Amino acid sequence: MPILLHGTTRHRAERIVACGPDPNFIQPEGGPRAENFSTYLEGGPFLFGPPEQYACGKAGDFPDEGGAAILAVDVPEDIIALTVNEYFPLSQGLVQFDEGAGLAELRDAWSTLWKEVRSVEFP
Amino acid sequence: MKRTALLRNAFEHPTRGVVGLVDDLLMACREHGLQLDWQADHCRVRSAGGDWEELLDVPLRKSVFRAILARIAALCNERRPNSVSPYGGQAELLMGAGTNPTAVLRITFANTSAEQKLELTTLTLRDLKMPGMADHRPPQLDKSANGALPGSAASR
Repeated sequence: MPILLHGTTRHRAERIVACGPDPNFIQPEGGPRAENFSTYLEGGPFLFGPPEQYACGKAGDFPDEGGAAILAVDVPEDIIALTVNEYFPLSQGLVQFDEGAGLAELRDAWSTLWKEVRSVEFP
Repeated sequence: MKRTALLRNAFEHPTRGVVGLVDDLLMACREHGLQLDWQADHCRVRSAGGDWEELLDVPLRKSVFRAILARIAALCNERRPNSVSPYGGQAELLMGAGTNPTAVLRITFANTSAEQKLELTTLTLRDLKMPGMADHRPPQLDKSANGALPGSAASR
């Protein structure tokens, strides 16, 4: 099964590990709900910026959330296939879980999936 | 073809994913600037100084618009590492093939959960007095078979 990477803060990564990606998550300062869950194929390509960069950017914006981290999760190919369309071919490395495009299936399977949180060093 | 019609066609019929859609967007802006943003679940576009036009009939998810912004950030950082955050900033991209850049796009964008916007302003090289500009290579819009640009991880 392919491993997918999501760059964020350590606190958020640990919460996602415990509860699954939450489309209703709202940033501490308020605003709209998250709606979706963006990941990369572990092997790339990283045509939209590497997940470490997102992790460091998020950690910089929210310095009290334990630093930058990468959530790695092993996702079945049939769930990943639900995300593929004309905008997000797998060849471009971005696996985008949206409502109606794999997010519900990912959340349903979440508790059974291998996951780990990896630390990221600021460059 | 009118520029918004070009954009509408690019959004409705992407042939090379978001990477190709961004290439088409940048080409459409080559001579004139554009502003795009996401409001009320729709993408809006206007020419510099013009009126906003909502691309209401284009079924574009917000995640696609945010991926467009992410791709633009990646291109900016490819030209000059760490010049922008994936969540927003300002930078310039040289436009033109080979070693003869013909114009510069000034890019200003925001890509957070609360705000998504993009402003592309076309400048001529004469408008710029930036040190080291001659050292910038023009963006390589030729792609490998998997859609990766030269210099990206997938092209190594």
